[in-house]
Amino acid sequence: MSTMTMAKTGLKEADKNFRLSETEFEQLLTQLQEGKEQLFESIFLVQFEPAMNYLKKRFNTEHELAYDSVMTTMTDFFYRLKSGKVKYGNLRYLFNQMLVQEYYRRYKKEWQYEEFDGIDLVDDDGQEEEIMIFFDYAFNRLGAACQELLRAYYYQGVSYPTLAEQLGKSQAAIRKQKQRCQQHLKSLFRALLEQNSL
Amino acid sequence: MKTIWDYLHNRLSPEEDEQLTRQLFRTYFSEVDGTRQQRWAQLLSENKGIERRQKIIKRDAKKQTPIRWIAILAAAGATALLLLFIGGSNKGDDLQQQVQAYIEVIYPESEIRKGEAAELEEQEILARLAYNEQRFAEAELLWQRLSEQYPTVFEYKFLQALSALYQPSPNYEEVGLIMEGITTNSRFWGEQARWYLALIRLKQNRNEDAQLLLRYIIEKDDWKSSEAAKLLERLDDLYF
Repeated sequence: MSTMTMAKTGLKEADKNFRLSETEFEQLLTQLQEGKEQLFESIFLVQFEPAMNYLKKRFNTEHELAYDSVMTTMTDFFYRLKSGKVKYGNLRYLFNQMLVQEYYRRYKKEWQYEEFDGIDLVDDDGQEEEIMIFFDYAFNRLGAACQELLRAYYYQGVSYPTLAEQLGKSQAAIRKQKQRCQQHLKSLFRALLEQNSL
Repeated sequence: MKTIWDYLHNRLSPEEDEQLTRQLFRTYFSEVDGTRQQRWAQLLSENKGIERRQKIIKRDAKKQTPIRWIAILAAAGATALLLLFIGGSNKGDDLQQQVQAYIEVIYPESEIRKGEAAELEEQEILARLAYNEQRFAEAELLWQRLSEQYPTVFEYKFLQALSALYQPSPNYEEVGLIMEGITTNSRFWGEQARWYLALIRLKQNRNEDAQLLLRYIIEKDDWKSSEAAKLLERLDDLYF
């Protein structure tokens, strides 16, 4: 392969990957795992507007819906990268797929939280802050797969069929995996609370 | 009152357990993601001027692509030339020729923009190429296939209708139906489709329908509102 062809191939690959070379991508992952978000933010800022315009043009969507969809997708992408599950290859394609899925989810109004019927997290002794600190500690000790699954299911309200499709598993397998993750989280959480006799 | 201990010792009903888990995640991620997203929103606002809520921009300040300006100027030029040549013809012919002049200015929105090609499907690229090269029969078919595949993408329907309109002896009834559908379903493409629908109604001599559409465009100060005003003036001349 000539030097020119190699350079062109390299540029094409970089374009598919938000203009990142494979080495830069590895750097990004390392930084995210170390809790440094600056590199991600610099990519995020550049991609935000084109991503919004892509949604507006493709779906004729309103500005706010496009903004919210991109913001959520960026956040999800951030977690996916951080968990190390994203491989270098065609990051742009993966991101666009996630963006379209997020748009459809919002468009179909799947993005809705259930109302709670009065179950309180704790007694009235102001311990919620401490509890959330331990929850944070326990959650960050879970494996990346469990973190992603629980966040998607409980926080984002992604349904079992959608999760099954996204993760390439059966709904029953997702249900079981979610149960195992939840129990593991509970045991870590309980151990922490007991140790600190809250 | 149920407590975190009841939850952690599995003393809640399955429904309560699910609700509390959801509540924990909601509290936790609202805080974590909320803080991060606020920072991002601030960065976007400061560095790129992107806000969640769009600022109201005066019509005059609306962004116009150079190509669209060229199209508008070309349309104005074509109209002026036409008016010079057809000075002696009657008012009805005059109006029809003006309508035709507006139709003949090819809508310039189908360019493949730099950096966008990777996201476009092969079929869409082919449709855009056919449209840009004015192979309208082929373009119509390709846009129609895409419209069937992605029924919510009104740009495809719009370009399908335009591709049909630009062919010799178009079926105005069919094109009008597509444009009408777009006007009721899509805010952005609907604005542009309404202008073409007005032209189509004039071609069909459905002048009253055209008048209503033109008045709407003028009232809303929509796309092509100044051209709509000119057409409406000519249309009114026919009756007085």
